[in-house]
Amino acid sequence: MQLVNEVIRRKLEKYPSPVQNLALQAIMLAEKHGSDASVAEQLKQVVRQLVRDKK
Amino acid sequence: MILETLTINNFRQFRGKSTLRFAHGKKNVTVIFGENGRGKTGIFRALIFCLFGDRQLSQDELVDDREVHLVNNGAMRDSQQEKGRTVEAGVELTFKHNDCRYTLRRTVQGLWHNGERHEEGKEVTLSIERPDGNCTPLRDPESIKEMMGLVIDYRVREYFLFDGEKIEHLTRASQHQRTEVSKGVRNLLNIDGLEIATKALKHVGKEFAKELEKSATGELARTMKRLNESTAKRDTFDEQIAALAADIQKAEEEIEDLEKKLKKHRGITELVEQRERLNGQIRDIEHEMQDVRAVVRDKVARTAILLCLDPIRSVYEDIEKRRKKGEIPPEIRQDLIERLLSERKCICGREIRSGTPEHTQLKEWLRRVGDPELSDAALEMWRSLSGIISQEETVRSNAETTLQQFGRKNSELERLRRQLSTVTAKIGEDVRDDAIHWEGQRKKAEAAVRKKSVETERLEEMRQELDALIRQLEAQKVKLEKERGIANEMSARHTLVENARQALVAVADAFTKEARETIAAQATAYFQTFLDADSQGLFDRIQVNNDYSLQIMDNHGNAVLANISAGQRQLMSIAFIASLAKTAADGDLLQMPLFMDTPFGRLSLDHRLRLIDNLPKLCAQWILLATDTELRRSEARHLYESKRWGRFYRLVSTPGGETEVEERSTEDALTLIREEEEGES
Repeated sequence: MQLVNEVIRRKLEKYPSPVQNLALQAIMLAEKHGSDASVAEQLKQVVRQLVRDKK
Repeated sequence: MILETLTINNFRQFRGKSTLRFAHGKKNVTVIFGENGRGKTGIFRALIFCLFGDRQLSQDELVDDREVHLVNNGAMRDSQQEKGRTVEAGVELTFKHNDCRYTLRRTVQGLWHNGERHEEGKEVTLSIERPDGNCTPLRDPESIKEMMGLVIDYRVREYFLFDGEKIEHLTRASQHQRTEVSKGVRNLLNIDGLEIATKALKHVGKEFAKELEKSATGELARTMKRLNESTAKRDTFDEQIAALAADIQKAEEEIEDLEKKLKKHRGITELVEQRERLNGQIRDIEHEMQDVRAVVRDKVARTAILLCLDPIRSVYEDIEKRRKKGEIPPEIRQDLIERLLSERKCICGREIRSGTPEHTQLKEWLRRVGDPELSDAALEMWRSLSGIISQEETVRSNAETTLQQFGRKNSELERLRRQLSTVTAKIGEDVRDDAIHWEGQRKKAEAAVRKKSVETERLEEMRQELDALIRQLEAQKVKLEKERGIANEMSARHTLVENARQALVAVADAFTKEARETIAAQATAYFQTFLDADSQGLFDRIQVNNDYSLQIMDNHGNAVLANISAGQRQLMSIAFIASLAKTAADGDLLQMPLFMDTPFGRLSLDHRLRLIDNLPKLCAQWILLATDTELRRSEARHLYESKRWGRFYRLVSTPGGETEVEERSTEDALTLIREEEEGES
């Protein structure tokens, strides 16, 4: 099966680093957990961390 | 998934246990050969039953589930003598998937009760052996279903395991089937995760937006409020659209069910089948009209220019007249005349006094040259108008051709609809009460589908408008934040999430568009290699629509799916499947079998040989269930010479009327399979 993440990763490269980073983490969490509700819960932490890092 | 063995026990025509081993690797073709009624479809049924628990195949549409017997008849007859005795039938499939070996086993139990034969599913087990030797046994049907869904998506099972004569249905799927298949394809392309990620970001974005609204003040607070309200409204639309889709699906299933019942009534069977055919043709034409409508929109928009051609010509001719007279552009530059007048000197050095004829002439020229910018603009307009006028013929003829094409399709659609309504009326005239009742129910369900489809379209349009408003409000929010120097953490979170969500949507759109284009290009190339020399020049390309339905264009850009033969549709569908598999495997061979019942029934000899030449190279494993009329010695010899043929099984009838599976060498096959008779093609 094709590793879509690689194709997606390449396509996301044109976006600013925090956007790219968050989008990739969202995909990885989605592939691991499979349901948007549980992914959303974890994503909130990721977003907070990314915004703090950016500061 | 690469199939290794299939063991059947007391299943359908096969008494006792029989095992088939499937070829894979370099020699990846397995042929299961038998005359009609020997149990080829029984093998196909065994595979589908084992993988998904389905008792029925798509060709069983006229048969009730209870009428499909899986337990061997002979074994059941023998058991009738002993009261309470049950007979177990089962199928065991072993296959490899992602380096693990899977053993899936499903059984069914047959028994007699009050003189009637009954069958019930007994158990299903799955064992997964990992490369390190560890084994996971599963017994819970739901967990097994979930696990098998990861191996092969149920929605695209018919792409890999199919009846060759039915596969052309791929090109004639209903809206609901197309939606399901489209979901299956997205899963096959491994972009389901992307969708879940996008939904999750949307969810998080909404929460952050609410927090932001609470903390904002003034204009920003009002913008955030409108943004959140609009987003909530859009979600409501999405829910309503999804509910309508579910209703449409339910009504379509009801229609299918009623069609099956109606078909059983002798006398109207033919009419119901005719209606089905007409519905298929109507779907094809409607689909083609969608494409033509897009072209019409594009080309007819350009014809608006024709409406104002008279004033365009008049302005053009006026400028042209002035141009010819030398007024535009002026022969003498304004700055030169002004200089001569102020210096009162001619270019030859002679003095020009006020009141002389030379002075008067210069004054007259100055009046005539006017504003040079205006003159340049007029010249530019003259060029543009000249371009428009020269395109008149092309625009007119393009629009005419497109509108005629649309008109033809529309007339064809009208004709088919009239036929459909005649056939439907005839069905309604049937004398039997139950048939009239079913027909009435069917009409109601059809009306519901129509009504809900219109409602869906209306909601989708409103949703699009709302989407545009949301984008506008988001831009306004960013602008306001910038203007007021708001850079708090809450706002940064919301912006980041929204940007990431939009990035994922854009990336998913680009990815699926590219995937569709790649699949279409590859499918076109495969299709051309499958076609005989005479047909190759007739088609330009296969088009893969947004919902992964197919269309084929001829060399003049016309959509011709409705007019190609069933054999060509079959080849087109196989080309699409092979291309989809290649795209899903990123250019490699997708580790999935192509399991085909009646693979060549509708194909000419040339097309059969071309499939034999090409298909083994395009799939990881090809398993054919062929009868003696479609796999004859010429096809067998061709397959043998391709050096891809790994295993050969013959289904042989026993004196008791049952079937045995006999493995023979591929060399033997060449003598066992009959020569074609004279006149056969």
